[in-house]
Amino acid sequence: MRGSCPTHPQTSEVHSCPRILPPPDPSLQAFPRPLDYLFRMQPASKEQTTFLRLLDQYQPALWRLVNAYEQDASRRDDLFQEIALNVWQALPRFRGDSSERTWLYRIAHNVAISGMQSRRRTERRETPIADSLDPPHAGALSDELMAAREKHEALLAAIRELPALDRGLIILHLEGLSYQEIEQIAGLSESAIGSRLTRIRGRLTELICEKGARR
Amino acid sequence: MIPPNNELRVWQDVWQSDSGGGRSSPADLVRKLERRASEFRRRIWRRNLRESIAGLVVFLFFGFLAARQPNLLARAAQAWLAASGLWVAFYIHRYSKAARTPAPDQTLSSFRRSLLAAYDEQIRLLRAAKYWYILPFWFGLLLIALASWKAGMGPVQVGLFLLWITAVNAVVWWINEVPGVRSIRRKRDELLTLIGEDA
Repeated sequence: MRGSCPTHPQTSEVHSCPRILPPPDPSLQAFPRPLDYLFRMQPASKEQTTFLRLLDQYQPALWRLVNAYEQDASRRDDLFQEIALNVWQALPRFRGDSSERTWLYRIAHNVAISGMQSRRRTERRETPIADSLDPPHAGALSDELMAAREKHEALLAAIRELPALDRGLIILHLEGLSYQEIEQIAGLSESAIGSRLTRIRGRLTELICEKGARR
Repeated sequence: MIPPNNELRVWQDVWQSDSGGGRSSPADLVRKLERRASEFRRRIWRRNLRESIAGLVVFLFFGFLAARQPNLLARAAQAWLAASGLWVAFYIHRYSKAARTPAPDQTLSSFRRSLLAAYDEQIRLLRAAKYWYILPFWFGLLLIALASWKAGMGPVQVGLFLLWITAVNAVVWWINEVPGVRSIRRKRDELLTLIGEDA
């Protein structure tokens, strides 16, 4: 939705231009009427627009988080939906006390961790489906891409070995969040985060080396 | 072995270069969310309806018996049981909120504290079931036994009736106090194992 306004060159946001309306967002038109009763909002309200924008902006990061928390391929979609639903329901309470990013990660990690707990109980009753992250066809990817993919899978496998809190912290760290932002999500002090991350990074290196040696 | 900063940078690049695999279109996702939320609402609605109907059935049944009862003590006993049905339905409805997952838009530490507090509240409710659930019904049934004895029922029959209602209530008490509390405690311990004591 970003772009320079032809009549107001001083602003870079089409939204902030008083004369030109932004082009209709096709995803907003897809909002069915029953959502009105569900979220008690008018169609295409500010919250809906924010929700869609947040999802669009953070979807890759949220999927990375989901992949790290959920090993079972068939349940990842479920976890993603659970996170999205919680974000939507919490959106009216968002007052901007923290950045959108930290607020979103807070919800995502809390939902993922509480989901982990209930999934653990279910897993005792049923065998989880083996993990698969859409393995690439051999030859379809270049050596460089294959190597990058292998690195990513080794990192992901090592992250999944970590306890939930450590997993959450390292994901935030890898996403490039500052200690201050991590503090706002985890509620731990910056010094505690620093020492914990040092230990986690060490453990992660060990795990990756162990897995590499086993291959 | 702690990775030097450049290695961390490599990890961050490897991590962030992944698109995450799944990608939902907003319209698709909204449809799925709508279905999910309405399923959840329906489940809650059905549970509330079940509890309200159960309470109402007990109230109407004993209320009807009380209205037709000429004996004052028996009438009081049945009125007590009718009121107990309503009371238990109200109590479950009022405190079942404790079992809900806390709002996730708080820091992980306070989310963990809220989850633990919710489990503690559930344990408290199960432990207190002997007062808010078992005692009112047991007392009402005790009054009925007393009324029956006054009305001329044999002491053996009254004794057997008392034994039976006490045994049934004892089983209900045991289910709440032992397997019920144990199950919530297990969940609580699992949470502590998952997140850790120091979060």
